[in-house]
Amino acid sequence: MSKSEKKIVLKSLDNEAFEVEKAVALQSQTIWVMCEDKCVGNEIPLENVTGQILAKVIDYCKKHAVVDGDGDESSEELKNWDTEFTKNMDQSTLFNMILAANYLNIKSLLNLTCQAVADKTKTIDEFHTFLNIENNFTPEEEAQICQENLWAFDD
Amino acid sequence: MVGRKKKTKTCDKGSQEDMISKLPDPLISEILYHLPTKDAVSTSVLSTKWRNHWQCVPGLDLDSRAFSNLDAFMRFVGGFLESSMIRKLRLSNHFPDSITFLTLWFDVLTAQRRIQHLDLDFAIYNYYDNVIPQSIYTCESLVHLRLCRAVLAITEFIFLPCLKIMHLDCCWYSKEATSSLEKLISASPVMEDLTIFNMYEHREKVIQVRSNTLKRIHIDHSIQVVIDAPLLQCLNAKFTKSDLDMLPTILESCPKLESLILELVKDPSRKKNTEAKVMFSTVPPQCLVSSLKYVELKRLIPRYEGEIELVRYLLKNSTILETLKLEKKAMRAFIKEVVAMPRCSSACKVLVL
Repeated sequence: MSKSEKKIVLKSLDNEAFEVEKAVALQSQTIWVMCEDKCVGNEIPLENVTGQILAKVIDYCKKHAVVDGDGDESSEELKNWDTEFTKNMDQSTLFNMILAANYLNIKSLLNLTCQAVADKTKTIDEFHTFLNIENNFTPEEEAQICQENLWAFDD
Repeated sequence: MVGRKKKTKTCDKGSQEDMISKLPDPLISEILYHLPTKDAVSTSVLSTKWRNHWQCVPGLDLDSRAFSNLDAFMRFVGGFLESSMIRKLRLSNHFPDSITFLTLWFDVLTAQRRIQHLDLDFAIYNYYDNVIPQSIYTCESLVHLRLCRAVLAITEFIFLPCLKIMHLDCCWYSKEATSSLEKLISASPVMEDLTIFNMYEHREKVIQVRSNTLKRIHIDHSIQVVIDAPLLQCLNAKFTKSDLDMLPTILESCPKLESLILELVKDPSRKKNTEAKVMFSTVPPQCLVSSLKYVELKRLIPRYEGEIELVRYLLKNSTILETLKLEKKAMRAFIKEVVAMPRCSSACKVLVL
């Protein structure tokens, strides 16, 4: 990669184009590999991510690129930023963010978004309400599953 | 786990359908990885789709108190380890006489070379027998190690080539193995974070912390320590008055230090009653000139001249210092004196919190 190509364009599934610094985009291992392979020009099509989600992913990458380059002293601030970033995301946004982080292969973002779902679902009730999962077991089946790992259902 | 619902109406608020269940299985495992294993197991009653997800989670996070006896605990962990490759193991183990099983499990994990994060807490108070399994000391994939209430008994061969974070809480080592801690540090060539809380050792011993990679050190225990870490950025340490004379040498050997948090305490033993004279050289250490931005002093000792002199020296010589933080309980006269001291850095604020 020549040093002059500092910016690159990311194009979403719905054809929205985002011009970003290469250092920001290369936090994605997927984009990094695409650039290394030179199979793409300066514009990278991301066929699995919508513009709405890609904008959020880029926000995350921008924040992390700047602070990482600045040294470790603001890791506390970065943590708070991460918490705020996912705090008000609804289920569908988190779902799409997890898929995007996985597809783009950004480990820290995958960790963060999975952690956010885990934080919102600390009890079975929260699992049912936040994720809206329908329980399709019969009471007998459910009792049997509990019996298999009784230790986990005892309070 | 509290209150399980029998049946849940779908989309009763007309809001969202269940999307998370549609994620590919490995991603659902990633979500469950962030839950304690007890909660992950309890997702098996959510729906038929979730029945077996917990079995594929690449980590275990368990408190043995959830199990009624050692046998049940052993069978669950043993069975899980047999069928999966995990990268995180967090165990709080309160069963005595479980060392044989732990040794067996760690032998398996070390051989698999997948385990990155290990957190082992022996939640037993009589812990002279909690000697940690030897295979931990040669676990090549380990990145993060936390040991609590464990006995370090280290053999000759230690090698932790990937270890970045080491946290020792209430650990102990026998008199015969006094250099255990130093060996652990020197056998971890990429270590960046070192935390030592309540180390039980022999007070006479000076611990040598020498590392070319350490960035953060937090020692919450007044051990005598010599630090030589050229990349160190943050030092949070406790010193007794008599050990304060080691500070100038420490500052000299940490040219990149940005943050210094000091807690000054009285000598626990009254053996050494002499107050050390802190001798700084006339040329300030490199870190004061080019990197030190934050200084915090905790638990100030009333009427201790050495401390006032230390603050005076730091304010006078730290070129780019941004903040000096003092505890609120510090004597008013002391704070007044500090505020009036000449500061080399015009941007330096004195905070009393």
